[in-house]
Amino acid sequence: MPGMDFINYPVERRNGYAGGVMKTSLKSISSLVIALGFGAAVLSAQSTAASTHASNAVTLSGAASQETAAAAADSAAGAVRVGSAALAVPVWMSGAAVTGSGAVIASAGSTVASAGAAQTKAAERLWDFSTSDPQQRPALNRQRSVPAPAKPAVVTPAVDPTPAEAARKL
Amino acid sequence: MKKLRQYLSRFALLCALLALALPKVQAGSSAEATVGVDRFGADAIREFALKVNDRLDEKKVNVAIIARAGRPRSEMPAGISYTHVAFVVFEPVRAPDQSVFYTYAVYNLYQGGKGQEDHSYLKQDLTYDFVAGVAEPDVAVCVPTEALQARIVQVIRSPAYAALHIPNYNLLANPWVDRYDNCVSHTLKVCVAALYQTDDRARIYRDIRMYFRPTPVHLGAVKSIGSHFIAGLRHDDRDASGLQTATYDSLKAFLEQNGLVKESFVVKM
Repeated sequence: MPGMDFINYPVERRNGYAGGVMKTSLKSISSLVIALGFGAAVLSAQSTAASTHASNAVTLSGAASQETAAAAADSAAGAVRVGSAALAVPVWMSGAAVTGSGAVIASAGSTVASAGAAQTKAAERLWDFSTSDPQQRPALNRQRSVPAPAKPAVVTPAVDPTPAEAARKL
Repeated sequence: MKKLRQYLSRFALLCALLALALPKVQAGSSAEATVGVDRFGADAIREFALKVNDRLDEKKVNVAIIARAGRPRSEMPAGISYTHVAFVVFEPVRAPDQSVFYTYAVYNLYQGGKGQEDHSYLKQDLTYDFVAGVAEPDVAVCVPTEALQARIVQVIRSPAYAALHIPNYNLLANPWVDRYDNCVSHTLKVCVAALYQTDDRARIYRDIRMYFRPTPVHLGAVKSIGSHFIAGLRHDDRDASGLQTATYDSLKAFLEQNGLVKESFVVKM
């Protein structure tokens, strides 16, 4: 109703008109909010760690952080921090890995020699695919690679005393 | 004048509604998307982890790039099939009782937890943990050539692996710009470092800009506006041509085009 004075507009129609505007705008606003929310939800949280971790292992810290300096002191592998709750840590991280051929694991870059040297301290001859014979490849340990299946709780029914014992307590 | 007043009041109402709605959206977005055990059950996830390990072991895979969809594909932008990428390495691991056994260790870059969504951290875990984050019942596997596998594992075991990590996280990090990381951009950098046997960051980024073609991301108007309200999604590294990022598919294409893939396959639950 272009140019119409809202106050002078008949009440019943005015209510309808006002209600119509309000309904329409609320509808479009809520649609927009839902759409924006959807847009946000679709994009979020992609590379998050699964919350049902059964085997928290090792966290590696960023090179620039202070944590790294502390980590380097803790671990033979350099910028690697071994978590206390670790359930399975690659042996090379635990500072005890030397390849089957006895060679230090080679690494890229110029800053690697010190880490490699540290790894030799606790030498342990293990198969490593990059240096060992492929024919000697060890078997995958299937069962230890995943958490044990959850066993249903066994409910043992309480055993009643013999009637004679029960009678004694009367 | 009246119209202006109407528009202003509508705008105020919209702002109020947005202010109420957005925190809920952000807080709920990751928690409400059911994955892994919650979505498929404990037995199915355990069996799936065994199946992925078995498939890798059958083929004697020592190093591979694996990918999962951590959100339903129906909710992902066009052209993106997987949300998380990591390296899997067959190697000896030490259990808390000090015994050593052989399994597949997974090397991840994870987005920070609640309140730290704009940061990331590197973490090693096992196949089970990787599978425990699936929203879709499949895991993609890209096996590099034997020579590249050996070089990748050298980088993973070197300080270069952590040194190449940028803790500032961007869900749609532009892999051409040395400012943010996500799981795929870090994986890509490790591959390039391995390929050229260098830890020279500037050289690695130069090579990525020259030879890697990222996946363009077209969000559409509504999602584009919504994307400005997401913690962990930045826009200041976007390319002049628009949003682009590294994905499992573009990483695999890059490796395939350069003759660096031995095989690729998908393991289904």
